[in-house]
Amino acid sequence: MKCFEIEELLGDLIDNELDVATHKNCIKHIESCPTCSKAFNELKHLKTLVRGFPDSVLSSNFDDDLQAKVASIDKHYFKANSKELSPPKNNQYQKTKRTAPFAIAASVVLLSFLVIFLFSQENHVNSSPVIAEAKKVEGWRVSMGVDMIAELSLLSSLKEPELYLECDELSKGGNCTLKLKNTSSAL
Amino acid sequence: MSSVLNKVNVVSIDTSKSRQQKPLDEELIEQFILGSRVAFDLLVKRYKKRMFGFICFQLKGQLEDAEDLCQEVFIQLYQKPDNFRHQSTFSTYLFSIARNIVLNYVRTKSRRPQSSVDLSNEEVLSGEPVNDCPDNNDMTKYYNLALSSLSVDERQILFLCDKEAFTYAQISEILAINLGTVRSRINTARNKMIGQLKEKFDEML
Repeated sequence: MKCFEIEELLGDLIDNELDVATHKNCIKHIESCPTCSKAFNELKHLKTLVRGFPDSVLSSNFDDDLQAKVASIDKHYFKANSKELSPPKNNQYQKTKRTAPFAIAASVVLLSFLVIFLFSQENHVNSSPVIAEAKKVEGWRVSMGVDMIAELSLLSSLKEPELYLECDELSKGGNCTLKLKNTSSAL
Repeated sequence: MSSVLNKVNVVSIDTSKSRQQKPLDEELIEQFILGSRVAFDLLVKRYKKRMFGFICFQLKGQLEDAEDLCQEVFIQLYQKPDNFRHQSTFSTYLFSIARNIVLNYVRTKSRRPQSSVDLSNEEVLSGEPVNDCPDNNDMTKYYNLALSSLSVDERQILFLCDKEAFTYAQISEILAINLGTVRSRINTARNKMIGQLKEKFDEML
């Protein structure tokens, strides 16, 4: 091998990235070439220097700070869910996490149509059309056994009571219930 | 709440196995995904020094920031453990998180000139001023100066290759660059270092 070839391969040689045959050829050349030998030793020395560089020392309160941050995440999670439950971390949860948004979107659309239909039937006598809209999608919460809550408001002049929609375990083929706000009674 | 936490979080790890041999990182992360805080704590214990060293090396010893960023690595792991998809080893995955966090930090700092990362200071990479370094001698001093001449990218690759002894393929995964770039970047970093050291302290090499 020539010197310029060795020069190209010195880094790989130092880092053990060469195949056995090339490695042997390089070493053979280096043993007989003072210039390449010097370059090789410089690299070797540098690698040793970096490897031996003193480790940085963490402060004594690193663990406590980290635990506090983790606890803060847990607390935030529980607060958001209004129940003292651990973050669900199982396969079912992961599966539901992926599918729930689609299920929720589909449910909102279908149930909006259902509400419009029901109230248009109720108000048929008065011949006044009633329109409902999904006012707020609060979120899905697997750990509470509730996949989705959507509040529905009626846009009629009669100021009908507000409704909300609660869906349980959509990923398992659960069902949704239309409930009156404040009373939580199902319709 | 604490009683609930304890009940839910403390999922037993196979103690009979752990007595015989340490659980693999990949086993621990699986346990953590299943709800074990013990597994998470073990991963933190196992990696905190390495993560901190890696971050410090890139930030040239800004200890407080480095600790915050190091904690951020584990916070990300805690919040999204399922992001680890077993496509690489856990260690390369964790180092790639650290690399991204440092990258964001450096970018944010560079947008704020008054608090920008000082690339020319003479603090040692361990975070202590040169004068307080336990190995404070000319070689250490020149070594630190030579390291200061490297970019963040060059320092991180030097650390991964020489300090952490990752293979080129692993470095390629961590830094999300191809093997050719790994080779050229590590060679550039080393040549710069050697050039600086020769210039400053020729008799050392």
